[in-house]
Amino acid sequence: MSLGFTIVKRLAHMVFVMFGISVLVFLIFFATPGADPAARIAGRNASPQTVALIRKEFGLDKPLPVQYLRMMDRLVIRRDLTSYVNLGEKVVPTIFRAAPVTLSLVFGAAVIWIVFSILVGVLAAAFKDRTLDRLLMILSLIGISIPVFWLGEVVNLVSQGLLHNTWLFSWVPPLGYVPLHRDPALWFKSLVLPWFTLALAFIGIYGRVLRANIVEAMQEDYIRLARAKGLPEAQVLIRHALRCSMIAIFTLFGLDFGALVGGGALLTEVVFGLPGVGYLTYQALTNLDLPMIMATVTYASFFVVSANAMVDILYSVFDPRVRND
Amino acid sequence: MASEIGAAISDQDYARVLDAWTAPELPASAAQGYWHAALAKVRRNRAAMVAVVALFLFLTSCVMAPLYAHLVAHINPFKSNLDGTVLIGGKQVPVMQSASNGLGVTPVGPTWRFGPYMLGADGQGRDVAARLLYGGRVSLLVGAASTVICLSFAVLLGIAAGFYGGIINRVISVMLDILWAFPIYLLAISLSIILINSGIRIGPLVVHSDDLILPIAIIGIIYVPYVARPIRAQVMTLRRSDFVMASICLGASDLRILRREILPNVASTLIVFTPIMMALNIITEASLSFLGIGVQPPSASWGTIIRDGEHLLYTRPLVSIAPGLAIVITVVALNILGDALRDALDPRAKLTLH
Repeated sequence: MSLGFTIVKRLAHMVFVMFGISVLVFLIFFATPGADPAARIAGRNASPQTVALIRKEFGLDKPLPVQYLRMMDRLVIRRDLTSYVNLGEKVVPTIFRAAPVTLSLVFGAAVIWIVFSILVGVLAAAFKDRTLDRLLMILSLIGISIPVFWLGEVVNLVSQGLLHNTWLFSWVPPLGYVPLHRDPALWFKSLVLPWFTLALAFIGIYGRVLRANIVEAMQEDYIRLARAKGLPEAQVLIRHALRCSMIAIFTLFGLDFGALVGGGALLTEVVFGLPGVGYLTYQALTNLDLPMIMATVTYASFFVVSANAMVDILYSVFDPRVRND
Repeated sequence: MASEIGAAISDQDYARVLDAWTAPELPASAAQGYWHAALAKVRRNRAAMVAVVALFLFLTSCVMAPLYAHLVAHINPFKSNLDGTVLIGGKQVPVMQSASNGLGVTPVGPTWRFGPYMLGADGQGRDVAARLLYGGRVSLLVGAASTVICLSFAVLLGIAAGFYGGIINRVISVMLDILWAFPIYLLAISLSIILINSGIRIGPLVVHSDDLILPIAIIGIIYVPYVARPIRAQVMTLRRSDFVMASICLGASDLRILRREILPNVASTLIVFTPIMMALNIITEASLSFLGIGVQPPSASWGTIIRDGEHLLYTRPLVSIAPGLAIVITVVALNILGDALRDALDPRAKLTLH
C-alpha cells in the first residue's frame, strides 16, 4: 500500500471516530433517561424562563438528529455556546485561553519523564537481575501505583507546609500559575513540582517498558554483530539496543501526550491550582455548568483523536512495515 | 523428596506423569499441568506471596469494620460528632478544638492508642480509623465489581469480534475505537455529572444518585477497550491456529471450539488482567471520588476520605495521608500479583498498565 493511501485512510478513520465521539457526547448529555436536558444545562436554581429559552435554543422539542446538528453547530462552527452559570461567558474561547497552562504543564512533565525513564530503563537493563535492576523496578511499580492527586497533596504538604521554611522548599511560590511571558523564572518555579508529580507514574511505566524492550533487543542478531565488531558494551547498549527500543516508546508517548492534554492532567491541575483546561472542567463540574463540560469534552477528545492519527501517520512514514496492515 | 533423585523428579511431577498416562483424555490433563505449573511458579514468587498476604489482611480488616467501630472506636463513624469529647491521657478533650489562632476549629489529632480516635477525627468529628476501614470496604468492592463488569464485557465483545469476524467485528471494533479515543476522565466526568446528579430511570428500574452501582458501572465501562482489544487480537490468532483448524476438520461445533479451544486460552489473559485492572479501577474510583463524582455520601471510600481531609491538609494531614497510603499499598500489592501471574502464565506477553 502506498504511503499516500495509508495517510488518507488514517485521516478518514480519524474523522469517523470524531463523529462517533461527538454522537456519544450528544447522547450522554441530551438523551440519557432521567432529568430534562434543558434543566440540566440551565444548572441549579434556574428560572423556568431560562429552561424554556434553552429548550428553544437547542431545539429540544425537535427530533434527535436536529438537536445533534444544533449542538455541533454551536460548539464547532459558530462557537457561540454560552454558559448559564457564568452568564454570557462564551465557553469555546475560554477553553482556548486556558490551553497554554495545560500545554506548559504537560510539555515540562513530558521532558522530565522521557529523560528519567530512559535513565531508569537503560540502567535496569544494564544491571539486569542485579540489585539495582530490582530496586529500580520496584520503585517504578510504586510510582505507577500512587494516585497522582494524592501525590500532589503530599508534595503540597511538604513544600507548602512542613518544610516550606527550610532551604529545601523556601523557593516554592504559592500554588497557582504565572504566564511564561510575564515572569519566566516564576513560571518555571511554579511548575517544577507539578511537572515531577505528573511525570512520576509515566517514568515508572516507560522505564518498565523500555527495560523489557532493551532486554528483548539484546537477544537480536544485530547486537551480536555489534559485539563481534568489538564495540564496547556501553556503546552496544546505547547506540544499538536503546535506539531500536525507542520506537515503541515514541508511539506510547504520542498517545499519552495527547491523552494528558485532552484531560488526563486534570487531577494535577486541580491539586496545584493551575487554571488549565482540566481545572476549567473541574470548576464546571462543581458548578454543574454543562455547556462548558460539553465543550471541554468535545475539544479534548478531538485533540486526542488527531494526536493518535498523527502518531500513526508518523509511524507509517518512519516504519514502512506497518503500511501493509 | 529430600534425596537427590527426589529433587530431580518430585512426587507431584511423578503423579502428574502417571495421571497423563492413565487419564482418559490427554488434552485435559495436559491443560491441568499448565495450571499446576503456573500456580507453583506464583507460589515460589516471594514478593507475590507477600502481596497476597497483604491483600488478605486488608480485606479481612475492612470486612471487620463494624466490629472495630463497635468495640474499639465506640462510635458511629457516619455521624458527625462536633460537640463530643474524648478521653486522652486521663483528661476529657473536646473532639473539635478551637484553633490556636482563634479562627475555626481543628479536629482532635491521632491518639496513637488502640481506642477511640486512634488516627484522629476528620472535619465532622468522625473517627478517621473507623472510616478508613469502612472506606476500604467500598473501595475494594467498587474495584472488584467494576473489574468483573469490565472483564465480562471485554470477553464477550473480544470473542464475538475475534471469532465471528465480518460485520460483527467491524461494528464492535468501531465501538471500541470510539471509546478508546475518548479521554478516560472526561468520559467518566460526563457520565457521572449526568447520572450522579439526577439518578437514572429506565422503565421500572430506578437507580438513585447515591447508589454504589453508578460508580461501579461507570468505572467498569470506561476501561473495556483496554482489555477487549488484546482479547480480540488473541482470539483472531487462535481462530487461525492449527489446533482450531483441526477441530473444525473434525466437525466440532462453534460452541465446542469456543468452550474447549478458545476459552481456556483466553482464560490466562483474563487472569493476568484481573489484578492489573483492579489496581487501575481502585485508583480511578479514588480519583473520581476525589473530584466528587465517584462514591457519594453517606457511603465513604478511600477517595472521598482524602477529599474530606483536603481542607485539613496542613493541620491534620493524616486524614488525607492515611487513606492514600492504603490505596498505594493495595495497588502495589495488586500490581506485584499481576506481574507474578504474567510471568507464570505467559512469559512472552507484554502487558503493562497501558
